[in-house]
Amino acid sequence: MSDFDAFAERTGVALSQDDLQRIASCWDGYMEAIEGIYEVKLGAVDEVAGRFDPQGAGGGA
Amino acid sequence: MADTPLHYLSIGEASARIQSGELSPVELTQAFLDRIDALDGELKSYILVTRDEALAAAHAAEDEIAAGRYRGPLHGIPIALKDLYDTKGIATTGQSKLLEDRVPEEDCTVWVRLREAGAVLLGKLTMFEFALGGPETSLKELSRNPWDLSKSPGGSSSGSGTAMAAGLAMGTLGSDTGGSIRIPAAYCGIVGIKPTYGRVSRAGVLPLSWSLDHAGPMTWTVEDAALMLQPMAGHDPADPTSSKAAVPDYRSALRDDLRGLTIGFPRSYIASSDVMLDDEVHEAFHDSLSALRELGATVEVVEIPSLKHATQANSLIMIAEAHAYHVDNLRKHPDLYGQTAKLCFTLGGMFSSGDYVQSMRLRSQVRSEYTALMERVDLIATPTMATPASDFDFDLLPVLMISNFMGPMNMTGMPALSIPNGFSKGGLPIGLQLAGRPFEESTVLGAGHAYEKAARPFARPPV
Repeated sequence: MSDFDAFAERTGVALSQDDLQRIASCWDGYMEAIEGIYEVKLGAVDEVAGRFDPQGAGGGA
Repeated sequence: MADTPLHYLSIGEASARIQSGELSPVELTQAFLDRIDALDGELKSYILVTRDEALAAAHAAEDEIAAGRYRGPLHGIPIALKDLYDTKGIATTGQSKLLEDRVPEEDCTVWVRLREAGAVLLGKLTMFEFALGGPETSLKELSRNPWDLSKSPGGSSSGSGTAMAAGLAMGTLGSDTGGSIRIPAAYCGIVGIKPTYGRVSRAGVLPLSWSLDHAGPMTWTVEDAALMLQPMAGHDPADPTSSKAAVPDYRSALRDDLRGLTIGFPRSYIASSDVMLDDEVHEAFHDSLSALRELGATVEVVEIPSLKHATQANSLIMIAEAHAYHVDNLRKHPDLYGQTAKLCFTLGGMFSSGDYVQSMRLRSQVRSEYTALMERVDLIATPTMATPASDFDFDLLPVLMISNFMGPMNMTGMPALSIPNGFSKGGLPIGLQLAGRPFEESTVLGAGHAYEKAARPFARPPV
């Protein structure tokens, strides 16, 4: 079983072959697209770690 | 204005005539119901028309106004809601077969506020299934773009865009998680504003992604957006993310020039191959920058380094949170979802926890960079969409992670307005996005109003 198939199976959602093919045709592109999110600098994260404000920028005023 | 048909009056124009007794809310509401009857069989913007309730509310408004109890500029104004705003006793489905028979027992907070301001409900509007997906839904058909029926009206607030542009409502509500107010506003040639996260209650609104969802109005003019937003804005204890920030008078903040404002535009991001900007959209955007300068604004180039990854993080957070919301129903009733919605929500469970965490970390970085930038500029200008309207039968999956101009504003929670700024050679509308500091909708609306008066192309679709 490929990683892709394992990920799909783990969701527990019954998918047809057509469903799987539609997602699979985009999967490599998604993996490539999200590579950039791993460029986040640790310092920027340390400032807010553990106190994420779900109200967004300026929320909760 | 005297020659403008009732269905093409702005809220500002109609409300002045209603207040003076020159225009009857019943006559106005009937004009919209007649137009819906005539056109919506083809345009399909309404999933439900609440004819009897609308006429009853219009009669009540007329009686109140005649008795000297005028409530304000929305009194007697016919509007319609995207079908994810709960309405007591009126079906609210999210345009999904899963909720086909769902009739809420309570109104959502924003409809309570709009109704108390005197608005008349014409009905509920079509949308992408559960606010994500595309033209294929599990319940009824999606609306068409009134500028070209072979084109998409945009989404997910599709019917809200179609109905506004075609004169089938005087104001509509959309919701926006990655651009779902601003996309149909741009594609249909109308105004739409995504307010600051926390500014407008989402209590009683079906969620897509709780940390990114925003509720907001879609209108013909910027003034109308200010009039609609006014009663919608403000703290609601029923929404734990609702802000207590004071709500200013938005209409009084509308202005005729931009002197004293600095507007930044992220030139390298706009020009990057990642966003695949259409040449005509690029040209319209630069014409808009010239107009903003002529209005007195200082326009300068800005850099936002993390912007290039923001859309991908926004999309990943969106579908991951949507997966968490839908997973039980996806497992039990996959056949009750349209295929695209089912695949998007399932996909949200296929990324790793590390992907989600990194997306949230990137979100913090994006917010930090915007916060620093907004200390020296008042507004950020970009195109709204990279291209004019796509074909009606587009497929969302291949474009889900392509960089755009809207997702970053959902990541930061900043208010963002889309306003028409041109047409393609094929006659399709193009939009300009103006985004401001959190809770400074007044600045965004004020600048949009000045631009609208000076440079917006006013045109209605050929329907």
